[in-house]
Amino acid sequence: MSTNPTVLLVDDDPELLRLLSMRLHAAGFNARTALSGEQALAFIGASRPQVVITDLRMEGLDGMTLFHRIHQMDPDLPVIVLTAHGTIPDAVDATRRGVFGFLTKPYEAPELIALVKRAIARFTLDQLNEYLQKLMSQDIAAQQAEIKRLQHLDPIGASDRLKLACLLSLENASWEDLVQARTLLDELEPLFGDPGTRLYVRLLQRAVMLETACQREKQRIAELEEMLSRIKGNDPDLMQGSQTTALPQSENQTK
Amino acid sequence: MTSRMVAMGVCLVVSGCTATGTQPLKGQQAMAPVKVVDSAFTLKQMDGFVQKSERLDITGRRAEAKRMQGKPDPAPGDRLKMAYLLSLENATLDELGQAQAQLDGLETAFADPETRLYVRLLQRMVAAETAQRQDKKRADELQEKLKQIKELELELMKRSQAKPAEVK
Repeated sequence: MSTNPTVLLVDDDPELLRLLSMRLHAAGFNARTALSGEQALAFIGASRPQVVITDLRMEGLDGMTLFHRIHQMDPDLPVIVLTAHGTIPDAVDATRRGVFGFLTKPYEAPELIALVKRAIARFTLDQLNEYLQKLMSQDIAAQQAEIKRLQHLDPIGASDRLKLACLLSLENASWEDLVQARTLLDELEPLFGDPGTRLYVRLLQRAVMLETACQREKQRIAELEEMLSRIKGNDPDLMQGSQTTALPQSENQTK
Repeated sequence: MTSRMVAMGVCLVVSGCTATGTQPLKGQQAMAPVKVVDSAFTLKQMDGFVQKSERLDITGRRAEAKRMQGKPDPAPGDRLKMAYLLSLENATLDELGQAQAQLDGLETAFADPETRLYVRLLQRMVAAETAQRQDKKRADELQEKLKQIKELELELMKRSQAKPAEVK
């Protein structure tokens, strides 16, 4: 399986798609193509790319409508809009609405490649570090409000999922918080283009899994110690009680 | 939630988030404090190393860790790599102790904030893995003790049921 970032190209001109694919491929990207907005949405639903590059004017779904549909599905997926009809107000409007970048044809290939690279690396660990440090400089109420805000985001983007997972899985996290963090981290890694962030997500996933397992063992110890203390107290229900150790359900055992 | 936030604050200020209550391990030896700031090492390099080591089997990873451990005065980047190799799945408690020792005081050796963040998380992961293993061991011991008591009790019950027959 290729580990190169996938870029989805959307244009109703097959020749242009071919040319762009070649350029992106030469720059080390895994280029995929769609001849319409509808095809692009089907592709994204099945396999999320790291960046989408779309033409603005197309039959059926135009570039901006496609962007809005993508944004509803996945607010963190960067979209770059290309157009022969671009004007400065169009570009300003598009970026204000959340489009990552806007290039007017004819564009220079290096300019496009640089934009794609920026889009892929747009969320980095540096940003996460800054975010956590900034949050820590605020009072407890503000921090709790931030957790609540993130928990209520719908849909929630990849970077917000990572932030929330970090906040939920801190020391002294409850069982429920850890389980929620595990759910948030599930299949999160491929959503980031930055290798450092991907590495971090994988490690966080393992740390959270271990911390969950740790809590399970602690609960098991508490229950076993309780049983043993009942033995010391000559509890008549001992034999029945020792048959059950009610551990949290639906969690996979670790090694 | 409040205590968690306070802990998080401490966690960010003090180097490393380690789980409390873990016992020092056999393999955990004090390492010399890290003075050198490795300004060249980045997470991109670590990513390349991780990808390479993922292609190795457990024996290969252990051999690589041993080879690295043989180097005198390893650079901070090498210590981080060693800690990673020593804390992979199926690591023994002894290896986890060695990983902890490699990570001890390592965060400040890096200039790159991303690498620092990664070191903190690896420390946390190693601590969690250590605590989980120690707790599992303790739970298994208690379970075994309970099992023995149950067996003993059953034996005593059998004996007391058998007694009247002997009288006859």
